[in-house]
Amino acid sequence: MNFTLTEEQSLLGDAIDRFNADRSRRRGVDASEGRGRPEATGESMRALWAGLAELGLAGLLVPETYGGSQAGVGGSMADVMVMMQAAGRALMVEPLVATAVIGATLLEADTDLTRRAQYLDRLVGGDLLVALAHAEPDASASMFRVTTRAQAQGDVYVLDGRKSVVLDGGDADLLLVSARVSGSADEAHGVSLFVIDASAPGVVRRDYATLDGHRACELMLDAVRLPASAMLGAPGEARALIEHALDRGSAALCAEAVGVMETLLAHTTEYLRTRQQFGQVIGRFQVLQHKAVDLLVHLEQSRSMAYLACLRADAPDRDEAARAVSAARVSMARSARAFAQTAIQLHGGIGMTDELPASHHARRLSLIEFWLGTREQHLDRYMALAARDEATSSA
Amino acid sequence: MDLEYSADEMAFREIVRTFVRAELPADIAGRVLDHRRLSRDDHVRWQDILARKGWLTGHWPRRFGGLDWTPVQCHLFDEETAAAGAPRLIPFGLNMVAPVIMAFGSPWQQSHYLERIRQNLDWWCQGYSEPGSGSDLASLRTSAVRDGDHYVVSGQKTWTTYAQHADMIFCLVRTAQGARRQEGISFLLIDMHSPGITVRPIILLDGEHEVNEVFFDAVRVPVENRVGEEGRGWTYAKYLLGHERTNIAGVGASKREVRSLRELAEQLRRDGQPLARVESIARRIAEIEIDLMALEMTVLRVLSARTEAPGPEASILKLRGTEIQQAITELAMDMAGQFALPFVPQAFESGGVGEGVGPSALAPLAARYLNMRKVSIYGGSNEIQKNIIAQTILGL
Ligand SMILES: Cc1cc2nc3c(=O)[nH]c(=O)nc-3n(C[C@H](O)[C@H](O)[C@H](O)COP(=O)(O)OP(=O)(O)OC[C@H]3O[C@@H](n4cnc5c(N)ncnc54)[C@H](O)[C@@H]3O)c2cc1C
Repeated sequence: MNFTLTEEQSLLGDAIDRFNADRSRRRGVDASEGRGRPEATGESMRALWAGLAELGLAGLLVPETYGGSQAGVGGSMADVMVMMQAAGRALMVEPLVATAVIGATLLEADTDLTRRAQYLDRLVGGDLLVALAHAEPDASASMFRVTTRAQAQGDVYVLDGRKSVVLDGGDADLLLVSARVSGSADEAHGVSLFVIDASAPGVVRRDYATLDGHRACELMLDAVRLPASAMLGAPGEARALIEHALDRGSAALCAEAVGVMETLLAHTTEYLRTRQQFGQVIGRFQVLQHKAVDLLVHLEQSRSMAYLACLRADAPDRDEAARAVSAARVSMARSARAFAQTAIQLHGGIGMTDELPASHHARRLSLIEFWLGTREQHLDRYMALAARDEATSSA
Repeated sequence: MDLEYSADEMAFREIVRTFVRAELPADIAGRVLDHRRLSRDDHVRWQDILARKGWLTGHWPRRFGGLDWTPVQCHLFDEETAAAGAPRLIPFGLNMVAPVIMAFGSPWQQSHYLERIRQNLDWWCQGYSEPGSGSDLASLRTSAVRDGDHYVVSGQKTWTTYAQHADMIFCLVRTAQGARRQEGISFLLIDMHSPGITVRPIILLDGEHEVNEVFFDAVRVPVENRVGEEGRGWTYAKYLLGHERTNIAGVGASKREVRSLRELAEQLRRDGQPLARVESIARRIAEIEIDLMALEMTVLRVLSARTEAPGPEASILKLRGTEIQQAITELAMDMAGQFALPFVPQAFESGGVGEGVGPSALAPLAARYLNMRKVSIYGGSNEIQKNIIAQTILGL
């Protein structure tokens, strides 16, 4: 067992921190303010993303053959963990999870080798934004219910359905859409993944901001006609791939939460050391010290679970991977919420204001648990897998 | 000992219910029940309706134009109006400064300001907190220097709720540098339209504008607007805080919100089933409901036992009341699931939700969760309430 980062990984984290600090200085805001939305800074998402691609972030998970993972870093979820913690520290809002983690995972699995090379090359260069459109508007206990239909008609597929809260879907060039070619809503088999150009006829997107400063879209598919070649992988067998990509995304979110907590803890302890009431700094009040300690405990628990999630997400035993990731998501959700609540409380009135940078971190922590599966969905999934495990071992 | 309401009390409840059903404007109730934003006018309209009936100040003593409602009547009124979707009564005049003026104000202040509050003519706000003085209120620095028949007030207040709407502000100001900091504080009633007052908005983390900074630049305030004696403001301020904290318990509104949780749980489906059938959700609703029952019984006990101003037991109500309010919004957000994420500013406006994402009832839930983090901070933070209880009730 070894929890130390390689030298290259440390350098990667430092490089991203430096990049964010420089960028904030140019924008004239604090490095951790999280006011990085393009609409707030007047920059375009494309330009921002190109900058990150130059840093090697877009292609971090992409094999070297396609131009990704250079200079000894990249290709592993440990690298993603380092990247996402740094992203969390500065509240980056670029599509790291959507494109660099989930998008890259899915495109790398493409069995059409020419297309794979083409897309990965563009992705690494920062020229291709990707979004997985999987979750649907009807709430379900399972994260893998698919009712969007792909009907075979001769040599084309016709897609009808709706996808909901698609992370970074509005900016994406390429939509990777899960749709059912056969079977009923919750069946594992019968789901295919389609590669759809965002400008294809019949594709309608409604883009919106989310409370934590990110963006998502609703995706309406109305008789979208696609050649059979638009299918990524074997027909009806995309579930495992989607699950793996989402698990990597979830692990990335766990790591991001750690970074957000790091910054928020630093801000909060700094405030406790400087804010004076009753003739002393409020950090002298023992009840506040204990609350600050709770923050640290949440941070360390979350850090441990981020390790677990990132290092297990690629485990060959798929059930083992899924269990670890969902466990980490549940733990992260609980810690993130309690952390945000306590950090706001410790700041008093100022913690409630949009003007305070720390409140942006608190907002991200309050909402991060609702992306890529909710706490309840992950808990259900964890329990189902644990029950299955029990049944097998007692059989 | 008797837990049942008397026949008179039941009759009172019925009268209130009938009146509210007939008089509460449907558009206002709709906004309250859907958690949409309320305008100044919404509050004023509803309070005007109550004022005409004399019910805005039903809880006041008769000699100040009230109806001498008993604590149980007040509770029933609160519950019935809240249940129907009436806006919360803006407490700063009615429940905060009024009791202080009744107890310590001059005959002129009583006839002038209390009458105007009774008729809903002035919107009041509370000028206690300052940037350097929140929990440690007695360290406040806004100064009032005597100049003939006036005080000249200079300094800054902050977190002033609805100062943007207000006609009057009651302020704690420093009139002397006493040996004890509490001794040099006086209590002034200041016209918000006075020259020298500037209001600057503060935006909260859910994007809402409800609090402000208020700047005083040599604002002239007639001496007759000082409540009670110079230098005794701290005593009056503490008297007021007891009233504020009881009010914060918000039982009526929380009961309405629990009902709204239940409705949401019936309306939202997971795997085709109403959320109300999902055990993890159903249990959480039940637990909140039980906590609320305990709070309600405690409020009734405290109010019934009360002779004068509420004492430190008001802190218990504030603690539990705010914890329950927060638990409700937390559960509502969890029920929204992925639909907690979208930020659709139009969703808070009266009228439509624009094009919402997910069922329209869900759009304001996460923002409301964030907004309700405030209740454990204002009115004296919950840490401060615990300090008060530890010192004054437990003698620690
Ligand atoms: C939405 C909102 C509306 C408000 N409306 C009004 C209004 O209309 N009028 C008005 O005058 N004020 C208003 N307030 C201000 C409110 O009363 C103060 O925010 C509150 O008293 C806390 O003060 P502070 O913000 O300066 O925090 P601080 O006093 O700096 O407290 C920071 C943290 O330290 C803790 N702390 C401080 N002292 C102690 C101690 N001795 N022991 C343990 N912990 C301690 C606090 O609990 C808090 O967690 C409002 C606040 C909010 C958020």
